[in-house]
Amino acid sequence: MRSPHVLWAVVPVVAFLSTPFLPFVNGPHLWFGIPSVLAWCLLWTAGTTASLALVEHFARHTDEGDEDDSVMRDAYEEAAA
Amino acid sequence: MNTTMAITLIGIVTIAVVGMTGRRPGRGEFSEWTVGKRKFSTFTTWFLQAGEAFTTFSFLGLAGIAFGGGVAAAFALCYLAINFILQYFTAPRMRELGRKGGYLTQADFFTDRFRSPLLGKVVAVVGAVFLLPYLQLQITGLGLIVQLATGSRTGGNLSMVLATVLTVAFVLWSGIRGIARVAYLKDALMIVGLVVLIVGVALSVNGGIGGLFETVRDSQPNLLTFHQEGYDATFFVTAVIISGLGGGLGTMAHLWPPVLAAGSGRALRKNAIWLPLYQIALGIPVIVGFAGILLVKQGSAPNAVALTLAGQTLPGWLVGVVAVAAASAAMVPSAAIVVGISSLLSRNLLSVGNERTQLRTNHICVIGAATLALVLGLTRPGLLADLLLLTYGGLTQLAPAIVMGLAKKVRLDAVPALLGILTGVGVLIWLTFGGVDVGTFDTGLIALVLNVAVTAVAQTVLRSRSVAPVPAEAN
Repeated sequence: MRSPHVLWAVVPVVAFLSTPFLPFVNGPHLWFGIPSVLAWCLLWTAGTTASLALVEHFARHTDEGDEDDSVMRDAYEEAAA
Repeated sequence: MNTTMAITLIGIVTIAVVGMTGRRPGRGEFSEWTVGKRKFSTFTTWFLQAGEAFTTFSFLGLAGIAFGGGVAAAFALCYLAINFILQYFTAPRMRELGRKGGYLTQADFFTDRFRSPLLGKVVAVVGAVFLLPYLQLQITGLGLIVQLATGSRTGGNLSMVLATVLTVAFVLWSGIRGIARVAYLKDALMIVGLVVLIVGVALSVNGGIGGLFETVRDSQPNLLTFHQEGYDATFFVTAVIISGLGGGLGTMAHLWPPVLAAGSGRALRKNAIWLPLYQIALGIPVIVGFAGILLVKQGSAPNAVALTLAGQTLPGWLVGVVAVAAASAAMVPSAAIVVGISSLLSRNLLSVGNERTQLRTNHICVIGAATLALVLGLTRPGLLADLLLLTYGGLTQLAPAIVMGLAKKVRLDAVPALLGILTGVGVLIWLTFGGVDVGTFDTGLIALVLNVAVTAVAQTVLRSRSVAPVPAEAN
């Protein structure tokens, strides 16, 4: 069974790789007093935590102890797919 | 001896003493030394994993790239975040396989999943050879840090020797538990060092951080974009992809012990979620590099910018604190790399006897690897510097096989995996040293594409042969 929520993890990757191709980012602009490229990357670094937290929230977990191995195998298979 | 030098030396010795205290009384087995009892908490695993993100590169390299290439330095933030995204999925699976298969090293994974001791040996050689220059980078980086902080070249060399000897000592004595103990201290020192640096810079630049970037925008606007020679969009995208894949898919052998030692997959997932927030601190050396554009003489060595600025803006004792923080950022990764190299050699390449014999052989490998890196760093720094060009791209050639090996059912055979790895490494060597001009495109990524192609073709051929009808005379 594939979970579409894994796709949340793709969002920051796309954001990072698109950095040089976004004119509103890749220019001599300052956001919050720092270069827009740096601000964009810092924002999406924080966004990575948000996206992974979303994936985690929607993931099927039964691991209250330390044995979540089968769950993680499923998560890996879903992500790989 | 000046105050800065004294504080630095005391700091280095203190770091080693803290590492020594990590030892647990035990039977002296290799598995305990390498991965503890595989019960490390989320907290401990956090610091072990964070330790790899904050290295001498954070203090020296990142500020240097910002100094020369402006915002291109932000690529480090991007690839580290991608590392954690991939690790969220891969690290718990690696731990699961490691626990079931009794893995102590990255090469154990290859040997077990592909049922091929030969592949395990090849991976052990590739891992050890490409990690050695990375170890040397940390050691020489430490020497440079002390040299810049104290103004003494002799002091820098002395610190390299002292830090290497002490790192080897606490690694031999305490193993991964010692590294974990030092990692706590290192991260505390790193935060203090980075805060001190940024406050010093903010107070030194007219108009503070905001004024700094307004001046850069008005005087050198190209530094705020990807329009720098050598640091264009191609560099950014390809470097982020190759470094993101490399770290996220566990291609570096020294990243495996912290994962294998984790007490649960849940701990690894939690860390992957929250560690990106920690990486935001890497914005500080980037800002410091920009400050260097205004405050440090143009034409200065890029790697010297951060500590030159520290020397210009801070009192001696605070420079010492920053130097100790930077030294710790060299010693913790060095310790982890030494463990990675020695365990590959003793367990997978030499494959000697039982665990106790392996541990003794391993200790000899620890001393040998650290000594080799130190001696070459002091006498022939150029030799390993050339090899370092291959480290990241070379190790990433293991990525396709790792991805396939992590799956529930391994659909890749050992021979195609081996052919792919050898092709990738060979192409990379040719591109790097053969005078091939690929512009700012990362050579590791080109090699990886060919690696995947060769692996896929070889696998298809192998499978088609194995399912071919058996000749009648053979029946």
